[in-house]
Amino acid sequence: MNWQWFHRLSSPKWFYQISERWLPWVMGVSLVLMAAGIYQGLFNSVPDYQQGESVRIMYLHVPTAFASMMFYMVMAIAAAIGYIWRIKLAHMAAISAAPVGAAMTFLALFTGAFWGKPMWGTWWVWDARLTSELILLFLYLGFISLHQAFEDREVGDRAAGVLAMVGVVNIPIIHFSVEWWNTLHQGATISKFEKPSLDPSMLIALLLMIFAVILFCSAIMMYRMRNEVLSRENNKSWVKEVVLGKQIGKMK
Amino acid sequence: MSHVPVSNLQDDLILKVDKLGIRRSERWLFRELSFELFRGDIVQIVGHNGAGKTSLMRSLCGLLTHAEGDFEWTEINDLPCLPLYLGHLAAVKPELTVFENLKYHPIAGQFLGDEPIEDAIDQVRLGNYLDTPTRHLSAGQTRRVGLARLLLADTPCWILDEPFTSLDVEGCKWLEQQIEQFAEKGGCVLLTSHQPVHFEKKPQILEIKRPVEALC
Amino acid sequence: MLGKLLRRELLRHWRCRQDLINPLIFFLITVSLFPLAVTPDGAMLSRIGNGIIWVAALLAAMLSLESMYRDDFYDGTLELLMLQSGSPYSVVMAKIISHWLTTGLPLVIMSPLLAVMMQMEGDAIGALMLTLLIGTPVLSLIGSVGMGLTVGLRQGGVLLSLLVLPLYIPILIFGAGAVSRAAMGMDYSGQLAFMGAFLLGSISLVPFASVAAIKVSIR
Repeated sequence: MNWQWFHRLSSPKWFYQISERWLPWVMGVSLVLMAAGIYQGLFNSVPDYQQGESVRIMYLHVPTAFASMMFYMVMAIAAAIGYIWRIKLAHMAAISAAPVGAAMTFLALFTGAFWGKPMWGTWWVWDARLTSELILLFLYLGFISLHQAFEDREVGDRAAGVLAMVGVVNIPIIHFSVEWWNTLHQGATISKFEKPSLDPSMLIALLLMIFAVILFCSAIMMYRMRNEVLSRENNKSWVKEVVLGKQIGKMK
Repeated sequence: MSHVPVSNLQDDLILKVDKLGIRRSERWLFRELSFELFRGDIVQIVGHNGAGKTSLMRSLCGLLTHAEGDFEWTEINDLPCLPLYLGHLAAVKPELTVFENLKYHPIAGQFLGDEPIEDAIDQVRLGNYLDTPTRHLSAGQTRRVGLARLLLADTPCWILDEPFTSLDVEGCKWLEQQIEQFAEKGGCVLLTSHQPVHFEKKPQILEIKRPVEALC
Repeated sequence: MLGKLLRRELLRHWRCRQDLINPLIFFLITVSLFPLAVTPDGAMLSRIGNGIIWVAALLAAMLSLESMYRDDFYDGTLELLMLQSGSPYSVVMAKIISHWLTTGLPLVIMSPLLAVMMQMEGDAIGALMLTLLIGTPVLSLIGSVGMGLTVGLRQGGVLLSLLVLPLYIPILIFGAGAVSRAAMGMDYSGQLAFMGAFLLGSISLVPFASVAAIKVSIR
């Protein structure tokens, strides 16, 4: 079997070069999608017959909540790959994904509270999904603080890798037990694709926003990874060339 | 007292290190380190402070992950041989007595019976302190509790990190003798020491050097 | 091997037995703070008592995790055990079992006393003891992973709670849930079954995670 591509894929230098070409596209597409999604969500979709205009918070709440869970999986899988096969780039990906995911979790909680106020008449309800989201925030914060606590970044990587693997086993259990604890929330809206309970105009806005947020998060994560690569590989000659080259470019 | 499991070993090679490299905080301590340990060898690792002497020893014991290269211990009964490692820390529990410290801590993969333990304690001149909790002992005496493990270990290799620290002159002489006897019987010893060591046969020297790329 | 290691752990705890009482006193004090802070009203206490006792037991178990690895880490015996025993998994299991025997089990034994103070009734007290009996080993098991990761860190204590408490949530939900069902006279065998599943699951997975965690910490 040819492992060449695998080796190349895990090289920080290769990532730095390829991401330089990809980043503008990812960022650009995400901004275009986001603009379209915001327009569709605010001006071109119908208000909910029960919740009225306040339903529009959903176009931010659902994508951020989705991204918060997706990026936890990305982070955990990357950390596990890094731990098992000792790939530095995977650790960098994990540690870059964590703050992005945590920020999305926070946004999901924040918008959830704002949505809750008109709907339930209170900022915070201990319902299953909000509580799961809160616990997810705790897990993110634990991962980030554990990594920060080690002076040696590589040791921090390995410690965080162990924690991420434990967390990934636990997440379904936590999610399930919280569901059992409280099943007051309205049923899932997005997964019913065959018979959508959403108006098509709302569904379009929601899907646009979901893709936009995911791409936006990926772009931020790539920025963070590029920084991480530069700071960790700072004694490699190619990094010096890149940094010095940029400085020369500025002087011209 | 201490014996080496001679019969189980097929050949004289005990440890083979192949292009080992250790990194700490993204800085290479050393790279491409290769050497071999045979029965009867006494090898002293030298290098300036922070060169990675302790890291090398801990890595060979499996306490530290190495970044590149590999090493291989000879196999005894189809299991890789387990060296006896004595590090900077004495690994003696203050609340347990001298006897319990040796009895309830495994040494080279096994727990030992009462008699050999009592003999070993006598040999390190702690016979009167058998049932004293080790927190009442002095630093040198605590050190000797740790050294008693040398007499009990059923292994062909000792890895000793600064074993002469806080030992008196007599203790140092005793330890030097033990190391020489062990080597004569076919064991091998890897050690570091800041104090000059006196063996009849000069120990082999293994120098650890900083890799070139880390200097610039 | 496991027996000898276990004897070592228990002997070590026995020699510092005053440390063993501290989590129990903590448990007692925490629970008795609630009537002072909330209300001495019996009907109210018997309703929230299950949750209070469970949370207090969880915190007491977490605070005592320090004794599992920290001392051994700093005097070098942890690396000696991990290395010279030739089977790190037995070392970890011995430590977990002894932690449960010296912290979890006393908490279980003490819980009826606190339950009576919280005005709980017969059926609920039985359920409380049963859930704690199944639940506290899980606390020791999961805690050993968190402790293994933070043992080498200076401010490990606060970080430990950040890592471990979210992972304790399922066992808390099912433990306290079972007790409140018992108090209402309902069947709670389903909750017990789930807790049993958590226990078996963590027994089979935790040793690997704990050994990996300690290997990260020992450098």
